[in-house]
Amino acid sequence: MRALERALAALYRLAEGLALLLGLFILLVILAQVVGRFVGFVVPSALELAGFATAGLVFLGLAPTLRAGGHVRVHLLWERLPPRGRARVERLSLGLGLLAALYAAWALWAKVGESLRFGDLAPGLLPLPLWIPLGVVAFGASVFALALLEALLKAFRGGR
Amino acid sequence: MSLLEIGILLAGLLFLLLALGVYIGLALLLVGLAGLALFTTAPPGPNVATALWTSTSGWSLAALPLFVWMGEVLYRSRLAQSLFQGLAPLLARLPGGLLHVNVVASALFAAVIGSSAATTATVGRFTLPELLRRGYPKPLALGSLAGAGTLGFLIPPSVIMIVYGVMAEVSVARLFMAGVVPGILLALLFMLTVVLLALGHRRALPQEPPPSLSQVLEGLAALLPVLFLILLVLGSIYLGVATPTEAAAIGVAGAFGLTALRGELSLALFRESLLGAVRTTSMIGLILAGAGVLTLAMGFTGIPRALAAWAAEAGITPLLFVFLLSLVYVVLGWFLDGISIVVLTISVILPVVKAIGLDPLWFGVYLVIMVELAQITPPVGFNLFVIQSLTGEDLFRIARYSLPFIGVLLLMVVLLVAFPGLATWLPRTMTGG
Repeated sequence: MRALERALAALYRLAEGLALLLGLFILLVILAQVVGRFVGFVVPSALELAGFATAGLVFLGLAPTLRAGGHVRVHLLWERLPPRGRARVERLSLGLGLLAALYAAWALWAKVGESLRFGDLAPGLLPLPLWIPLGVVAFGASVFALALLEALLKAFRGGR
Repeated sequence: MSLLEIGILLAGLLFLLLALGVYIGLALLLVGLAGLALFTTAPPGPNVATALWTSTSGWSLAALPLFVWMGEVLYRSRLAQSLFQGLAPLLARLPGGLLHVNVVASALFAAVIGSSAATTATVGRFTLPELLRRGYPKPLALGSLAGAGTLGFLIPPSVIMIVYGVMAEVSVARLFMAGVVPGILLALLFMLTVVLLALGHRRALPQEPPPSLSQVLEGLAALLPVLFLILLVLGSIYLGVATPTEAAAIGVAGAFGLTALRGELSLALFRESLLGAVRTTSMIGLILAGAGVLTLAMGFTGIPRALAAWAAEAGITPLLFVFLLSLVYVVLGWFLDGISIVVLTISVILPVVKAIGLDPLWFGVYLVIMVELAQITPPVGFNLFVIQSLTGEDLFRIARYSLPFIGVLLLMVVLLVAFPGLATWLPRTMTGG
């Protein structure tokens, strides 16, 4: 159990590290485009790349943000419940959230597969295969689902 | 089942999921999924995947992490402290004295920071301890900050405007410019409110000594770095030299440049600010992605179109519509955060807005002010949360302190309805964008 927890923590750190790199990438690619306009070179597909990186950053950041307590939810009902009710509602809401995340991850992986089969390419100067950014997004959604599952299991163990 | 019944069912499901405390983005996704699977013939899987992807991968959305990052850098710098010291001699002699620093510093930081909560935190971290130490009454110090902090969303750059612009397909550059005049006017109204409140509390307020000429000059000099950054970012957008995304990248570089000049730049600052930007962007991105699914599902069910047709047929005037909508927003603002309100609005209401002939650009500015109201109405108001964590004061008490400023925001809505040009004039003078 400990080893599993450590492995998951490493996975979240990996996702977070990749998200940080994508943030830096967005800054650099846009700055390069601005500089290029004055100096006279073109960064191919700078806008598309920045957009893809934003999607990657959002999804890779989901699990680490969950761990940091960064996602918003409405706590009004929860706050008014006795401890036992709170634990139940917490499990239910995490379970429903997990369902949503699992469905999203599954749908995104299916889209990755489809994109691979049809060889979809990004529009613009740089013909980037779309499965690459889509794969990053699907990976991020999967790590998010894992993080929700871990939170749900913890809620069950804590409730006993 | 009729569209009305479907609509009520889905709305009921949404409120149930939200009340249970499901993360808001995931609740929106689940409702969208239910709508797709139960009431349309569209295959849900591919549609959900496409909605998740397109709602987060647009290039104009890249402005979001960058502007958040810029704000994170400035929050971690001690620039706000210099600004306080710089503004103090300039504003000390106004009735209300240094309380005006709350307003002016918020307005200035709002022009380089994209969110109200971040503006409130950046300014309040330095002004609140200083104001309370100098003996300013707590209700005035906290209330004026809670009110003025909301300028963060209205004065560009603005996270809310990026979200609205991307989802509603309105130019973010034009939205930014549409917020400038109402933002400045609102700041002036806040200052006027501080003056009026100060006249009522004359005895309780500390008297500031008249500043010397050198203090005033030093104060003006302390403002220069922030003014430079504002001109760099907003000027380049107004002149059409840079898109908002590009201006944001320039702003991040500029913010790092300023911290380097102040000798504050470090690897830790770089890493922490970027980490903060990733977390905020992910938090907003989850809501955007879920809203993307919901919007798509709503489009398939045809509810927004039916609503728009009904509104046009029933002859709902824009004025009546805005009035009713404002009531809805006040209620939503009690328990939802600003971004969730915006994305829910766009999923359902935007076709109606267009059908009854409201300008989507004007509507964006109106929406931002309604969101600002939501930021300071309890029990869920992010500005209140920030001030609570800064001072440990009770949430509802802070809200009571900010009542006069809530009134000013409502007045601003009325002014905006009466004089739409407040929002639409400046964007019309732009050459590009």
